[in-house]
Amino acid sequence: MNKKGAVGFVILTAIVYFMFGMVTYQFLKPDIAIQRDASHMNCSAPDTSGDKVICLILDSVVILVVITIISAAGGMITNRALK
Amino acid sequence: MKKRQKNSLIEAYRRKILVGAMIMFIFFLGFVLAGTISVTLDSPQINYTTNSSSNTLQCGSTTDALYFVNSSLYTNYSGTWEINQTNIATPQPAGEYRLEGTSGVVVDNIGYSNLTNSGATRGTSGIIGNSFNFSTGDDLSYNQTAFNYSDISTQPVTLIVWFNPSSLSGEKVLAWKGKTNGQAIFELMQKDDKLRARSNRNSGTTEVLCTTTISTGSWYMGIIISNSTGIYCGTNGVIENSTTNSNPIDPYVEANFSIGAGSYGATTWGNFTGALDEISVFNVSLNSSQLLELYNSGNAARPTTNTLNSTFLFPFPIISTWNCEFCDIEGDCESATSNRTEPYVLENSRTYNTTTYETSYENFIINVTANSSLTDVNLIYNGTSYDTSKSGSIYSTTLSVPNVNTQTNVTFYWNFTYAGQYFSSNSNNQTIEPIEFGLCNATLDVPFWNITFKDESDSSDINATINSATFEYYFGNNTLNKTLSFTNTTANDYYTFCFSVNRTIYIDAHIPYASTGYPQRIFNPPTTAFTNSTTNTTLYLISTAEGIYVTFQVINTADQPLEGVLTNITRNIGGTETLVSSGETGADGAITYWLDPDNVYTANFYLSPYDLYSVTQLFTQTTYTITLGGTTTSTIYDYHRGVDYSITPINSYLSNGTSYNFNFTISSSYWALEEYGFNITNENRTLYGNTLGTTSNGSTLSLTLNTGTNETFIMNYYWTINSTNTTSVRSWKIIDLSDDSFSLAHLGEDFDSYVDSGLFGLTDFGTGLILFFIIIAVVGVTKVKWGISNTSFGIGLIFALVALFDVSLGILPNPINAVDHFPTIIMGILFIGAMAREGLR
Repeated sequence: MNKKGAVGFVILTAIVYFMFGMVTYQFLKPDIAIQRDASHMNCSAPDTSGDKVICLILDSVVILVVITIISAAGGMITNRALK
Repeated sequence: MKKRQKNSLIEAYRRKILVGAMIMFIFFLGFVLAGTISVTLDSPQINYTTNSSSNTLQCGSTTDALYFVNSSLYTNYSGTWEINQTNIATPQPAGEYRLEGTSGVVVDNIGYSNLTNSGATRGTSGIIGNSFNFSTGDDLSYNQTAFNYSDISTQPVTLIVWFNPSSLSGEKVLAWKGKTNGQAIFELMQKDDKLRARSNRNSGTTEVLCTTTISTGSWYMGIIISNSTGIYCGTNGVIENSTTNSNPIDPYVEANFSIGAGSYGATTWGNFTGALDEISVFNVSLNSSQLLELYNSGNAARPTTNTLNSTFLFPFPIISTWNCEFCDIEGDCESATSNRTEPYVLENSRTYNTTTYETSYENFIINVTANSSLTDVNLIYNGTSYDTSKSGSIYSTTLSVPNVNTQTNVTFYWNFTYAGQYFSSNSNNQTIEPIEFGLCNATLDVPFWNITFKDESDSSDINATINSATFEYYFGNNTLNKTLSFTNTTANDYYTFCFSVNRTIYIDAHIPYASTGYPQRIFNPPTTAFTNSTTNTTLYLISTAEGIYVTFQVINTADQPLEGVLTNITRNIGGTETLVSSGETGADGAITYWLDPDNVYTANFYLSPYDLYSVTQLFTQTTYTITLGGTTTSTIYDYHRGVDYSITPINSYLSNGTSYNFNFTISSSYWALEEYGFNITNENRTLYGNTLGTTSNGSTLSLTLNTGTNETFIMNYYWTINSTNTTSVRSWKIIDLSDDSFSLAHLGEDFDSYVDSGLFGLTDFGTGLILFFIIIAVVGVTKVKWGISNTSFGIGLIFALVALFDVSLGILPNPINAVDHFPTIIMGILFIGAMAREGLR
């Protein structure tokens, strides 16, 4: 496979990986919403410092997953492009 | 002279006083001699009587006059009195000759006509006192004027003569009243050894002979009655013969009334030999009772006193005041008045069965009228005393009829306790019939109970033996019963038991039964009523290969074994809950049953004061522990057996504002479902929809609902078996994803909020310092890792990070509060300057 073909393959792979990741992380959203509501962690006014930390982790899960997916996909493309 | 006149006057007064005294004495003597009459009353207190029985009052009287002529009992109230006189009042005679005198005239005690004695020997011993003896010649006593036509001949006459003959031959006149032609107005004659009565009429038969044969040396009472119907001859108080003659006596010159011989004019004939005594002439015809009374009185025909007792029978209600009165022949009457007292106990009615059966519970009732002094009433039944209960005037008691084995008459009566006195009612009889329960035979042929046997596994008929069974049977309340002990070691396919009486009988049975290859079970049903509508009972057995012994250990909440717990095992066979075995726990609190582990049984346990404990399930283990002591009945039925169900959506959360199809799919392979379904409510229990089904083996039910803005959907689903609901709940959380609850924005908001609340002990300075180091670290790592040293890139990277922390996350402290996002603006200006510088380069 020549370089152009390899770049194209990597881009396609990255897109598939990105789409899979974007679909998968949707499953997290309801659970995060449920855990953050008043009947669970009540992240609007947590009782303890531990709950506050857990709420911060829950808040950052989605963005971390998204960053991870984007980083992974972008990294694959960038890494291939830079070689 | 004056003195002589004075003495004469005194003498005259003395004579007047003496005459007055004599007159008073004569009046007094006359009063005494006139006879007295006394009346005595006997009205005893009656303790007990019934309003239908006859009660007796005695009224008696004594007089020294000859006879009573009347007696009566009457009352000043209305009522009928039954009079039962024991003595007979006899009429006054027209003449009575006791022949007591030994000289002078022959006295007529009535004072009518004395006789002149001529030759009779007086003073000889008579039937009473003295008599006249006639022996030879023309001995007689007579009076021509006695009993003349004007007195008697046209009226009925009765002549009584007591005589003791010394000779039996010839015609001998005892007494007569004749005419100068020799005919008799009335005559009593001894003719040989018979007595003859004669009365000459103007035609027809004039005489009749008595039948009694007379002997010498004995006293006889001779009787002649002559009246308008005929002539009667009698001896010793009994009229023996008579002749009919209604013709009158021809008037003619009357002759003597004489005794001892006939006499008219100078003619004397028919001289009697022997003794005569107590001669009475009545101007009436005495009846047979009066004649017998005279004969049997012991006073011949001359009673000096007479006693008359009358018995009066009366029913209740009582006539409170009554009188009795007697009058004698002298016209004296006396009466007496008595106030009756109420009986202590007046029985109004009694209730009982005249016939009963062994073991019956019989009720006995007596209704009485009595005052408060009646303090106790007991029933004496077959010699045993039973207390009664009182309700108004009714006393009642119940008792169990004893076993007698043969038909028996039992006597019972009532005892009363009244003011310290004890008395009894009259008695009644009750007939006790025997009863018999047993295997049917030629004489015991009315079937009440038919018992057959089946294999519990396949319901096939089998033969079985009955081993030492007992049947306690009774009619009443089981205070008394009879017992049939029954054993049959030869296996039979049925046993039919019969009862001897066509009435409902109660049977408490204990039946151990078994068969070859089938371990013994005990059938001990509750006491059951049986009638001639035959009760069919099937007893089930489990084979050795298919059953197991299951032991139930019954304890209380303190883990102590309970003895005497009533237990039974039932099973639903053909839609009927059927008793298959029963018994009581032993001292160890355990009982063992032979059960099929593949069948569902219901085990029941009861011991007072504990509540009934009931459990329905497969008994596959050899031991179960049952704990009694709860306050409520525990009944467990396995209505999950064979039931499968599923519910969709399967997720535990739903999105708001979304329509979902809710399904409830149920199937039952063991129980028949009567109904099943579900409903959907929200978190506030507001109903959003429901549906149900009735297919016995189940189906799928669907309901489509939109979650809307609700927070929760709750499905309440159920199924009904044997009218018992089995319910459960499934819920879904409804979430709202429109507020980006999962978004990055929350990270900054929460972090800022938590920091403000003191999380990690951070202040704005500390937070800014940490962010500063993060920015420096990112930029440093970028340069070191990738060797990017371009100023514009570095400032741009810092700008991006500051903007992220400040604008996006809002966690970067702002030193200039008057200008929002001041750090970002500064870094933006610097980044623009760096880009411009890069472009100018």
